[in-house]
Amino acid sequence: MNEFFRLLNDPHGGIFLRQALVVALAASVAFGIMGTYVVAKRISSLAGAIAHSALGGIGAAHYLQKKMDIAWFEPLHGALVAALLSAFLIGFVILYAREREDTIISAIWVTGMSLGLILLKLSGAKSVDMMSYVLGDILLVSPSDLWLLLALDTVVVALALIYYSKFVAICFDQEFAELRGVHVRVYYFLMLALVAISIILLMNLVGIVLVIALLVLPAAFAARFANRLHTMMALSILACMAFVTIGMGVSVPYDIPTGACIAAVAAAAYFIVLVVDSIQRRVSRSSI
Amino acid sequence: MIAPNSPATATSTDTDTILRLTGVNFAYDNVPVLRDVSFSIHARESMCIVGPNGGGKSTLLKLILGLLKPDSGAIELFGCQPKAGRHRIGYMPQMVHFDPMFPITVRDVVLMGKLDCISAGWFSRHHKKLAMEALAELDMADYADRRFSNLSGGQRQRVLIARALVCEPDLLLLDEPTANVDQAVEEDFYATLEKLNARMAIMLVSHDLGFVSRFVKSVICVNRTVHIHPTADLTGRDIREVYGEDMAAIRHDHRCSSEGHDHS
Repeated sequence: MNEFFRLLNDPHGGIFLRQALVVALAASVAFGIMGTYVVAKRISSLAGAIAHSALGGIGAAHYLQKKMDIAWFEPLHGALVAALLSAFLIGFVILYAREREDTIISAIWVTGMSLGLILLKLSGAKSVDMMSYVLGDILLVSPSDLWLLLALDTVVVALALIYYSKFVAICFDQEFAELRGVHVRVYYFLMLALVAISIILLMNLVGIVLVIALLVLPAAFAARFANRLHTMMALSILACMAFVTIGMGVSVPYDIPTGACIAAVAAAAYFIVLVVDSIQRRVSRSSI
Repeated sequence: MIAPNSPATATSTDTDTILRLTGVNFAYDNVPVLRDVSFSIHARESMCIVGPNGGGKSTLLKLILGLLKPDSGAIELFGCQPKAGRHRIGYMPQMVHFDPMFPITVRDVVLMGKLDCISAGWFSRHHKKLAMEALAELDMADYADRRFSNLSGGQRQRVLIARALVCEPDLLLLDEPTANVDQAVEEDFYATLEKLNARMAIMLVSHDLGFVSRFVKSVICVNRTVHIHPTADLTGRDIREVYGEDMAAIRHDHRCSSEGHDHS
């Protein structure tokens, strides 16, 4: 960890690291809040499909840049469009078409992923580059994206808090919310869109495959201590910040894949809490 | 079959009719669930819906709440379409409907009854006061800051009724309010309902017909079609027969008072 802080303070080499840490800490706020909704509403597999579909957008953006000379369309923009599109598609199918939820989720999951890999290959990307999108790379968090990411983060956090009462209601009892005049479909779509944008924030750092870990695990960790959704949000923001910092701190000096390290820290924390919790329960039951 | 309550004759006389179904039919994927359902409820009336599983009780509730649309026939709720009138219903869904792990306090559950009062943002102090009053009415005020999932089945039931009350309803619609509730608590529970019935109509779905004759004024049996029995006409033997799991065993050939209708 000392080595990490030394690298962070390095005036020249530390710039990428500092930037990645700023994005990660800011995104933790969106992840803590949206992750709480995802866990409470039990839509983590849906969020997984949205994350994986982003690769389709990344592939498309590469293809447009390399083969069609549309230089301004960055991979990040492609990912954002693809994630929002798949969020809308999944929401539409679940609300209006009578298809099984898990079937459509798997279909969108693999469509985005396969399309992305094909388009990346066609636009001449090397296997190493493809792997860094899938598994994340600290060097992918480019300086030009910083302001866009921070702006998106602000939008997600603001909307998620403004509509807190409505989101809690549709997580807890969607039918009752509808009976009380809440436009549940609008808020459902909005929630999925905010989940999609959140995923984009940390997609490059943690990787498409593992980004879902940071959405679900801090919230699941926090759920063990919280009695209300907003305390769960606050706790999971702190947990997410701790996980990304520790994950980066351990991985960067030793050149271990950062995304994998962050996800492993989050998973470890979650399992420790799970085990301690169940032991505590057993002890308190036997003492009665 | 002609619907017994034809709208032409009804409107002028029954000014206090709050819910009227006229010849309602509903089918899921061409499988008929409800056939030619007609009945009405007046202000401050009490009614129990009974019937076998799969007989269409839940479908009937969803139609009344405007969550489903009838294939044919009319539903008039407070003189409007169900969607327009349903804000005057206080609805309590079945317990199985809820995620047992959900982190939420009792007060926050009750506050959801006031969702129609806020467009964005959080609930105000005034809303919280109303929620506490509703909880107090059901003797649950001491539990306001407890986690909803840590309560017993009966306590949760009361919290959900408080949530329905905070909507300031004219019709309370309770789906299986006595499931998971033990006998002693049930006595209290019906005392509470009787108290509320002075202010609003109550319609409840229940398997437990033991109380029906004491509390509600009429029973409607839902099994594809609907039959109405004023409780005064239900003999002890009828109730025992219904208790004996076979809902179809209610005698449908006895004479009904003006509250019910002719099965012919």
